[in-house]
Amino acid sequence: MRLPSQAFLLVALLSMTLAAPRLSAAPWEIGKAFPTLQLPTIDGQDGFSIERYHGQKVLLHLFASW
Amino acid sequence: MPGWHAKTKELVEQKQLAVFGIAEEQHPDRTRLFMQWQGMEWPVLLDSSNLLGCKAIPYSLLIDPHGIVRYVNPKDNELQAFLETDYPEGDASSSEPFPQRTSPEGQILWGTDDRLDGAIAAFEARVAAYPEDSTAAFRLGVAYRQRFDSPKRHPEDFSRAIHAWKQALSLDPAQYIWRRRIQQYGPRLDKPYAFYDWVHEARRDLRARGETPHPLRAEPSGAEFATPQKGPSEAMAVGEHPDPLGKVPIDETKMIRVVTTKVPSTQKDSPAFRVHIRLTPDALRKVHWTNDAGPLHWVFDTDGVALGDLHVSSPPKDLIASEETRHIEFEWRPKKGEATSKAIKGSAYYYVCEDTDGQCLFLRQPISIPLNDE
Repeated sequence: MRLPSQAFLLVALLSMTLAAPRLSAAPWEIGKAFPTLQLPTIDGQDGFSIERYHGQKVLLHLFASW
Repeated sequence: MPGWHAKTKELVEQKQLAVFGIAEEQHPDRTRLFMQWQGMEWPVLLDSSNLLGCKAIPYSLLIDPHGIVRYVNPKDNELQAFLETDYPEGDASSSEPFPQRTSPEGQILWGTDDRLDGAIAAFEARVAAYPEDSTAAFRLGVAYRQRFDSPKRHPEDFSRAIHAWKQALSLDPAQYIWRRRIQQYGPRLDKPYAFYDWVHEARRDLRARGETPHPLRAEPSGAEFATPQKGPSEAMAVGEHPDPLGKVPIDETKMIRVVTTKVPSTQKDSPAFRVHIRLTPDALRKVHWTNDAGPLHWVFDTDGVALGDLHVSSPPKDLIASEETRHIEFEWRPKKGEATSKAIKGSAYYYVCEDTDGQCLFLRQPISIPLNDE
């Protein structure tokens, strides 16, 4: 069975417009919650968000290997 | 960051602090190799399409047990104060999980290579409907480059990625994460640093330690290793011409398929760019390179331009025949005071065989890269 591609596109576009939070220049601010973004690990595993560390003090590095 | 690692290792062991990372990088396996090399074992999440929305890196953040950011790029005494403070429950409101796995963003991150097609279609539609949506344009580029590095590659995916990233950057020139994504593949004058020059050193060190370096899906190319260039182009060494009498026949039936990609400088006033040429033997006709006959050659026939940093793939060692994709890369800038031509022209010369009728030939393929196509 094949779904019409327009239906897929519509769903995809809706989820983009509805789900995408508006993030400002820096997406964090001292005294505010860090975004609860769900991301996979670099090994392709399921991953997590900052909520995994609830109850712990965290050092978060935002970086790249280049 | 390796400095931070040394400083905080003990705190992590004593469970006073948890450490994790988010990588703003197209290739997660390169981050993995870097972590292996540095002996850093904390978990790292992948944010290849910049969902976080930060415009530059690196940053280190201290986040309290309730998810509230307390310090950005803390000093040693601030780390100490952070560890000694009891933070009250804040108003960290929990939000909807983002991104949904079925969204185009989710498909880039969790989807298989097949599902990238859906993400690309959705972002193409988004960019067509909202040409000012720089974020969608950037993510479209990420999806194209990701498919380019997969077995589901379409030959033009790399060019489309560069096109989308250029569009994104023109809408938001202060977005340095996006700018770096173009510069990674672009001309050396525009590079802030050699992006992946550490890869060779990492592999050497890891082998010396008796470890197997984490494999890379897409081997970094010439531009990704090249050191930044500060001054004018050096002259390129001219080797022996493979066809001084002009007798080598043209590859009319395209035994070798050629795809070219131009990566521009991200500086507005710089006309420089880097050219990537991919040459792939036609698999349907079982074409292969005949390595024992000789290597791939590239000869320019364009005047009035400065060309530099030519890289041509070498044949694999100890293989008489092979069918891998080969690369030619070089940089282009106009020479001062000289009229430039409308295109860079040159020829690739190669030795190839076709398995079906056993024909082995020395052929030439003229390649023309237009300079003013946009």
